[in-house]
Amino acid sequence: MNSKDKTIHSYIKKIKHHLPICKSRERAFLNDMFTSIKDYSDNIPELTEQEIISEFGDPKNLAANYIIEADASYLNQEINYSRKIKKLAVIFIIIVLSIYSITVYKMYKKAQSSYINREIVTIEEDNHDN
Amino acid sequence: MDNKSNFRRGSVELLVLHLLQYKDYYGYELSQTIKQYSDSILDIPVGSLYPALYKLIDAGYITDYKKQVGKRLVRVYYHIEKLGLERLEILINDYNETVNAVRSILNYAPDTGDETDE
Repeated sequence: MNSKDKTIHSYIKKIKHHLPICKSRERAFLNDMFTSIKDYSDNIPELTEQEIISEFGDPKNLAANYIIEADASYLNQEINYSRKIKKLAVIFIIIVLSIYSITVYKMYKKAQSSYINREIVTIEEDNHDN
Repeated sequence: MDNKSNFRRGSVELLVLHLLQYKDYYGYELSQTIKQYSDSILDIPVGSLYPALYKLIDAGYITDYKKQVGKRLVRVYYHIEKLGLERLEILINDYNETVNAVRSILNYAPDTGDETDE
């Protein structure tokens, strides 16, 4: 990857950071932005991030424009879906950790109850017959 | 283009469909063409243009396809569909009606003579 591509990728990454979700549509948008910047920079041998910002805008504002212009119902749906997935993931992790903790506790208890009990038996000689 | 200017924002769909009726464009090319032929009065940032294009695709007015450009670069071109041409006609009629109506109002200047009590 040449330095120009690295600069563009860095800029694109900043836009991605400011997007609330990154599904297929957002990935397509970021790809389209990459291509647009490549087209712009065709005749520019050394491209700086400042030049990209001058032409295309601050990454934060660009992400904000995308959100403003995007279909509101699509965004709501995807954000709600992401939230649900995150909640389910958290619940799943809690369940797995709980099962793991109970299993470990049971194993500990079982190990504890299976200790061999030592009993000291003293054998004394019986001297009464003598 | 000022994002707070709803009047201009509403014209993006019209301008894009109008240009696409003549040939297929890719995103940055559309943005630059609009800027050039409007003497930079209409400057639609690509960040706003792409979501507008996606909405047009969702509505079935346009479609997109990929074209290999150079070794690694793939450009997405946009093509107007029959539904888009019909939509364009509606938008042009709507625009003309609106412009005429606004012009009529702007040409209206009420008399500002003194009021007299009778």
